[in-house]
Amino acid sequence: MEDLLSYGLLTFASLALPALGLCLAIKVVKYFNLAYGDMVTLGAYLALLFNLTFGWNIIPAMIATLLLTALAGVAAHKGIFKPLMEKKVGPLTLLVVSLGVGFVIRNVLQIGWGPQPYQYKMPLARAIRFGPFFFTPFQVFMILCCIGVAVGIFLMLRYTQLGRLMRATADNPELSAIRGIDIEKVYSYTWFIACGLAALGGVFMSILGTITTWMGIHGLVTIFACLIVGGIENPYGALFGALIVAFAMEATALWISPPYKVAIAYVIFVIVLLVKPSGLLAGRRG
Amino acid sequence: MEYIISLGSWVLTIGTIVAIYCILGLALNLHFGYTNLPNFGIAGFFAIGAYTSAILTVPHRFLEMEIFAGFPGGIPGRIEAPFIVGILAATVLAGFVAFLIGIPVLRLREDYLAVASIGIAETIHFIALNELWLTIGSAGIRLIPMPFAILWPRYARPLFFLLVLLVLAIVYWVISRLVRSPFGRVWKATREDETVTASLGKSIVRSRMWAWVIGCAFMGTAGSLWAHYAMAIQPGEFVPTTTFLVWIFVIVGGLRNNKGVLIGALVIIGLFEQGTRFLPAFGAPYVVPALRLIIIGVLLVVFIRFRPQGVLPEKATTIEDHMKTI
Repeated sequence: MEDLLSYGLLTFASLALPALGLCLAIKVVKYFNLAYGDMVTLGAYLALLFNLTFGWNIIPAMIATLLLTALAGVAAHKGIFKPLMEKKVGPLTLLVVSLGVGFVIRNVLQIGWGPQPYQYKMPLARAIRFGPFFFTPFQVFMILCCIGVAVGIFLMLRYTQLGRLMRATADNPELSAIRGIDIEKVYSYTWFIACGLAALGGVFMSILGTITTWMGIHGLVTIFACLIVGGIENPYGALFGALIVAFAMEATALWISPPYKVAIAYVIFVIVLLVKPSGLLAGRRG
Repeated sequence: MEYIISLGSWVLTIGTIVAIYCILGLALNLHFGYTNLPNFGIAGFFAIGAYTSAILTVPHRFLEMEIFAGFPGGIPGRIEAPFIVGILAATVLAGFVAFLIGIPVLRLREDYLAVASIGIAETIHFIALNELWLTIGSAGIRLIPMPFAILWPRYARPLFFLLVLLVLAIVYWVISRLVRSPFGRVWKATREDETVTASLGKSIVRSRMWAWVIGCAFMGTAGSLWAHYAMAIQPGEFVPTTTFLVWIFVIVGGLRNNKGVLIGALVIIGLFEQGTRFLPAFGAPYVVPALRLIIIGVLLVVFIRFRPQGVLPEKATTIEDHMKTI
């Protein structure tokens, strides 16, 4: 039971931020980017570059990665998706384009690093005891960082000008544009935040597991399950979904069979679709 | 002379692979082109077909191999069924699984359906990787018999190529027929406007489900052909890359146009994926395949940007055409 709680909390820390980022992106920009999973992978590999090749400590590597991945996300949006959105193509066409973008990112990483899995170089650390749980200092940092960033995002959405602009654009892009909001700028900021969160998630996922070019696709699948469980377009729902999916995955790993960790996310997803298709927290305002 | 023979077998190899991919492309065209169901789970249904056929037809010889000495129970279905049973079972089972999956998943909005179907395909991949009693895991199933190989070993490959072409022709005919029939016109109508179609008394749910099941069943057929052609399958073949390749050639060739799909498969799979296989490689062994996929990805983005309708666009149905069909 202690194992379940501690592993579940760690998995939650790695899933919550990318789930929140994807949720914001879907809510505000209103198209589904399949390359989001590959942004997670890109984050993991960039951190690997700084950490292993340049020999940086993991925390500065993480910050540099966060900024670079976020900029890459904005660049992809401005260079590829924006011209298409101006031609008024449907969200489904954008989804197919994002498939090509993901293909390119994944294979560039494959050329750079090859197919073998990697791990970060981190100093060995003794686990600290917290009641019945044991966490290494970095794991404590991960959990605190996740909670801190998530709270920061919610405060930003609620109280800052950018947050208001994002919510307005999410509710009604045409009306926002008429009222003088530069929605293109809001989209860019949203992608910046979303891809930054993806990068953090990528680093956390790689610390818990290994770094491969496929982690993004599997990551996308689990992140999407979190969104469905909590209700798409609801940021609180994304976190709630991440909590449920993370604990279900770890319970499966402990008591059923570790390889089916990712599959269980899908079982929950299907159950939620059958019972309450709009998600467990649907209808609440985020 | 030898050169001609080796060239011939090269064309035969590529031709068979392209024809199998064509079936996948036509099925995807039925899903996405005609009915607007973005199916990103092609690899999953392909795998169901391949494994069903392989498990049913694999000979006893395979199970008696040394590697299975310590294997608990071996794999079920030691019935050595003939090829025809394998391919029919593959088609039916892929369709049935699609039906079960379709009940929850077809309720989703299109772009969410896309991600959900990736997850389904990955789940099927995990099952193939982990249920050793059924699929032998990552070692895969080998010694899958190729039809005709026992009767005429010399002509097995050309004959199999003809068989694949025959299946392709049947699939092509069935899909073109269905799309023109009143039953299939509901698909196009749903694609254009769900509300109007529903208001005319057509059941959107049922029509979408039929398109979903028929397309997935054809993907199962393609999987069965693949298993018997390659004679060995392993879970690593049924990864999202397979799905994405099909998507890309369908988009490039011309969504909503079956002939365009065939051209796309020939160009992308034939020339690009398989045709460049014997060009000199450089760098590490993974560099060239990755480079190939990068170019294919860029091609997709460029095509959608500058020619979204593909090489061959959808043919507009004229009144004259319509009168001819009825």
